[in-house]
Amino acid sequence: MLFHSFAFVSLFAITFAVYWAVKEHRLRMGVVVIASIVFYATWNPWLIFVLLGSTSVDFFIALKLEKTPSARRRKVLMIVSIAINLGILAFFKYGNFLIHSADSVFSMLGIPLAAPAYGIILPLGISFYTFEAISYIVEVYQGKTKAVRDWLDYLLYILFFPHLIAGPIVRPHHFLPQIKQKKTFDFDRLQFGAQLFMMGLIKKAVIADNLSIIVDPVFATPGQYGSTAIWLAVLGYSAQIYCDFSGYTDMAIGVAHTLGFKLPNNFNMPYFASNIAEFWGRWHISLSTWLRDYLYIPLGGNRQGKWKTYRNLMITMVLGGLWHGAAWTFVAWGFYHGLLLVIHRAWRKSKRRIAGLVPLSVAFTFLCTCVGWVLFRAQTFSDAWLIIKRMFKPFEGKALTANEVRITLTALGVLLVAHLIGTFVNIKKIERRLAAPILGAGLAAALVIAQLLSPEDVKAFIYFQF
Amino acid sequence: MSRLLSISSSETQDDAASGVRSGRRRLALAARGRRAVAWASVLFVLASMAGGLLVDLCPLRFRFPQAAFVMAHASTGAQSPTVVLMGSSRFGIGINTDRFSASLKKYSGDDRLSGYNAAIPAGDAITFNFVLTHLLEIKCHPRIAVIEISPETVNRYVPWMKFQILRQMTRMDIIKSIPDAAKSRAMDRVFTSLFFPLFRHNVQLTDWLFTDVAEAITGRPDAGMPWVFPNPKEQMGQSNETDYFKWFKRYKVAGIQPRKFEELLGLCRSNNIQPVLVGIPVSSHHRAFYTPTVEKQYMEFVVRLQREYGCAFVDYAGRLPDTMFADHHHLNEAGNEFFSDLLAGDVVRILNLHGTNEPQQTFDNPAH
Repeated sequence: MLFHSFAFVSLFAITFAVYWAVKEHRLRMGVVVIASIVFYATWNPWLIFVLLGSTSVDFFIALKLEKTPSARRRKVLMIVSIAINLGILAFFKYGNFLIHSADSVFSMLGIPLAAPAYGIILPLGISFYTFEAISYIVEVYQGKTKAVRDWLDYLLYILFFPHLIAGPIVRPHHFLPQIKQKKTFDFDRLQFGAQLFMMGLIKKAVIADNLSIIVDPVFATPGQYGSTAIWLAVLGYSAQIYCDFSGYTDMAIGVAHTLGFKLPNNFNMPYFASNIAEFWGRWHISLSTWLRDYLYIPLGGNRQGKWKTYRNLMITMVLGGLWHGAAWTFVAWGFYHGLLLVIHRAWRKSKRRIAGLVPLSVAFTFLCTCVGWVLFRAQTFSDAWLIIKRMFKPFEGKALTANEVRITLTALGVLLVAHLIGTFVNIKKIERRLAAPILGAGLAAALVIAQLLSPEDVKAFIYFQF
Repeated sequence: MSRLLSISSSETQDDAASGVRSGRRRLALAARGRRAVAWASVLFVLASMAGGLLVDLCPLRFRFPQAAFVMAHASTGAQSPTVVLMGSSRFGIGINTDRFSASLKKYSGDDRLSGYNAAIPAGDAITFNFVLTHLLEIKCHPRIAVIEISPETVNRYVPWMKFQILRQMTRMDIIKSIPDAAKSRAMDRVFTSLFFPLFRHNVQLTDWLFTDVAEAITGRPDAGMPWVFPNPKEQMGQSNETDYFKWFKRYKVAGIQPRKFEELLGLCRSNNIQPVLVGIPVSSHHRAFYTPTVEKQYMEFVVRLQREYGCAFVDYAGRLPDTMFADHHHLNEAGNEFFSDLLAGDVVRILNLHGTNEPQQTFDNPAH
């Protein structure tokens, strides 16, 4: 169920009305759990049981873990829980990928395996809720969070529909206390949530979905297009993926606010990062901090010397790439970003900082991320290579229409202005001073614009596939 | 010590004051939030109502470009065509107007006769009414209306209801046809068209209000005309089976389509237009859906129309071989040529249009 679909609007309206009509706190949380189950089950009613099953296992293991005095047994329980979660993820997400990869390797060696293709359906949001479950068990193991005594509370932590499908990846110490906190209806929060939702809706329905109509054909048949079209498509995709994912996040945070929950921010003007490390501090923040805390630091982080730091960076980013999708192009994307981080670290260590050239650094970092998006978006390595070649070596070919060029450039211009405003203007301060009619008119105008300019085909969020 | 106490006491007073201030501030913000939500709701409802009004006022060339195409190419006044052919894509693709007109002249011996193909993609009785009304408004007054009819287009399930809501129905029409839309599983379109017209009709509205912007943002809808033959990608007996199956599920001649057929024939009668109902040619795969129950109800309805409105009926459903079809129910080039001639000949014969040359073409149909 997409946030910008009428099905979701209907579900949310009912949930919102019942949630605030019910006075008892626990009942309210029950309403959200039921809404979350309906939200998930509308996509596939059977896979909700996978989610409920893994959630129950984690819930009981955490309770057991907390009661166990033996450090060794505690560790074993944690590992068992992580193994179950990663096992489920591996089966559903990487099953076919591993079989096909093994098949390819054996075929190259002249040993055809004729591996069967299993029709494994990828449960929506599995990558996100698996990481949330791991966070929980690790925090309980570390004693940072107390094991939840109520299964309903734990279900809500995992299933809470605004973040269920594509994050932000919430941490137990941040979210669980909110479940216990009694909610009071607040119009200020409702209008703030509505503002965020509208902003996300414009990003997604108006910018990302219109850009996808232009970008998709170029990435589908890049061989037909010339360098200018390729450049526009790559830049367009950079804008599309940002507006798509950050639009989703804005909507998720907005919806959560209307129910009295606060989700962490996931983006902070990522295309204004002046280096790749900063980019990862601004892009998909909940994932990059998760990878830092649960992978990079446990691997040793930067505490074991230069080479091991580089190794840890590479491992973290390659696995981060693989987390995005079961394809070698995602692995390559992760490897590429790991390499950029290593180069940046080496550059930084050698203290060859160029002062006063921040705009140039920003532009260079943006260019590097754009090249990365080619690996991320292309269907195959040969497509990716072809696109990168045509980006840097002029080639005549099919061009985009004048309208397509206009839309892409407009979207990029809007993105630039939004980044400038987000960086240099204190919007919150201005917003607090606005009169109610102006705020109301802004909300209504955003909804009218979103309706008028969104394409008829509602497109799924890019990150839903992960 | 006293100084310390005084400081701490003043700090406490400050805290209390700031607490009161923040409490007041919170209340003020909540009140502002309530007013903002109220303003947003009222403005949005007003904008949607205005949007609905604009949809109803939207000129044909933006709201229903295919119908505008038909109107733009229709001859009017003394030059009005003798025969207007009203149908769906089956007629649009299946009839070559030049060939039809030439055959009319040939078989009647009357050079003044001409035909005009006013078929519309996804056309049905709702559309035919709309088209004929608009043709009459622009003084295009034919003598004969050849009207496509088939079992599926008199069923209570209207396959093309979604299109009709989008392109031709006014707010009032939509409200009146809610029961029919429910039976046709088009309630989502009814809901969005009535309550979110700015979204549902966004292409048409932006096209009308800001043509250039609309082209830049969402692209201009292709009128889908003039007609082109479909690629024979639909393999007979395989493709779209589910769609066709839906058309005939719980078949019943009822609802808006039979009503609109009667309205159309009434319109013909009041304007002295002779109607000819034409059972559209379809392939044997498509005819498999015409079960005896379907055929019985359909024929009873057609016979009633013939009796009550004095219209002729010619059934071509099983008269053309499958080799003349591009898919289940659209003719190919050979079928188009053949059917155009056959239909012209039949129209001349049935209506006795000064027939000097009887149609010569015959076809050894394995179905008969």
